[in-house]
Amino acid sequence: MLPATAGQVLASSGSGDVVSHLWVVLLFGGFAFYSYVYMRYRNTNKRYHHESQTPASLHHVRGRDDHIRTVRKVSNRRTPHANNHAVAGSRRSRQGMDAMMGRFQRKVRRAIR
Amino acid sequence: MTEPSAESAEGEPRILHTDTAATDGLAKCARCGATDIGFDITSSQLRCRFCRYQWQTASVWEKFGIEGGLGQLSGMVVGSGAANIAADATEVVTFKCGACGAQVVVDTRDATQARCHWCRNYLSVNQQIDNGVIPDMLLPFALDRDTAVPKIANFVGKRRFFAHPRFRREFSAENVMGVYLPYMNVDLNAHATLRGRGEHQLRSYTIKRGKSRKRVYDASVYRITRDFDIHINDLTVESSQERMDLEGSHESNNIINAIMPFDMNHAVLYDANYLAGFSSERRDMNIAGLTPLVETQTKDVTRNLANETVKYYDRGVHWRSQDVDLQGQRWLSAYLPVWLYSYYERKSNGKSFLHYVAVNGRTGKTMGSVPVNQGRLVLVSAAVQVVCTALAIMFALVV
Repeated sequence: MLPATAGQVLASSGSGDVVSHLWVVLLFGGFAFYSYVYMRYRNTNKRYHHESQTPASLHHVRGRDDHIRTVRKVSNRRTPHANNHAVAGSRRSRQGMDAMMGRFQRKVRRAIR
Repeated sequence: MTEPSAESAEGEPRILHTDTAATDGLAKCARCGATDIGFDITSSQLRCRFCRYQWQTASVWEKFGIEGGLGQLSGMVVGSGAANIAADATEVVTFKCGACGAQVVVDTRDATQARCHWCRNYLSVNQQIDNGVIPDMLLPFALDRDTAVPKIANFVGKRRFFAHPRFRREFSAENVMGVYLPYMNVDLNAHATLRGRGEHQLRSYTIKRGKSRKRVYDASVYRITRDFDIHINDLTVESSQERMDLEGSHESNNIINAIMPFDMNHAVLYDANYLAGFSSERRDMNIAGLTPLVETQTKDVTRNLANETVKYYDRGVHWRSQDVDLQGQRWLSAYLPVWLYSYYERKSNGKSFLHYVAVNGRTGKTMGSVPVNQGRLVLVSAAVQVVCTALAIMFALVV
């Protein structure tokens, strides 16, 4: 087996490093349990998903896609400032305990993925 | 087919008069002439309590020929029931009873029906007045109380262990109420142009720098433009100031929001007899106050639909500009049915909070907020934390 030098590719795969993050998740087990039960009882994060559930249709679609450049060795898994899934009209609070727990749950899910 | 009024001035909305066939006063059974009319949930129809004749008011979409054809919608069309609420709005309506001639007063703040104190006939307010209490259309209840109560009981039953002990003692699903809540139903014909940048992942790999390892990605960046027409059908928003507040500072209004959508295609023309046996909340917001929210939600729908055309960009898309040109919009006010259980929680710090458990009166979708026993939950969470910490330490040592 050849020793790896600085910057050398060690592995190329699409899977995440689940095992090494699991112990981090376990350290927050109590808080995760509290937030899960709180959300299940209070459902403060529940809302009508108007962006996907409102009946709507597209017509006469036209598009243009121009390649600009190729970026290499970027550390972001997703493009910065991606907003194609953003929802501005939900009227839900971005502050307070409920929003904090919602954000924590999303981070845990991303870490596990 | 009744066309919207063509009398509007340049730039002014065209009015769709939805109460042209409505009459105030005695609403008689077509078969026997009685005025004691109720609503039969099982058949979702009005029913005469004397001869049991059943009927329902016309579908609002068929009556005015406004089902489908959003591509032809242009300008602004406003239902007469969605007109602006006057500052000095009429609250009290006085009728002359058509049967005995007595003067009957209906206070529309409380109800839109009253019984003549002389001949006992029912009189209804069906023609729209300028206080927003009579909508363009209404969705009758499709679920009866005997269906809603078990749904609420089942929802709460699954959440008993960590529920507040006072709530567990005082909860009774029988205390559910049928309520008609005010909404605005908006149909839109728009043209959208979106410009931005999308990225497609070419490969991902791990590199070593010194002692650390890091996952990195290669990607192609594209400049993308999407241009399309979008037809939005039945964008529904609350038209009550109180229900618009989803922040949840003193009541759980998000619960009522979460039981949407409603099947608006079954909406019928308003008739006060549909409200018999139910309570209602009136609209207190005008179109101007709701327009910013509708425009924002329109852009949300547009962005979501546009995702179908940018699936190639698995790393995401950053839309730098989003132009939505509203070419046609139609606003109709509606009463929509909800079975509602409410619980008033008084907290130890003196604050209070109103919890709701709500059932969609058409689809049966159920959502609710149950007050939490914080002491028990914190105790159990602490025990879970101790166990997880021990597991984490063991895991870290092994790995």
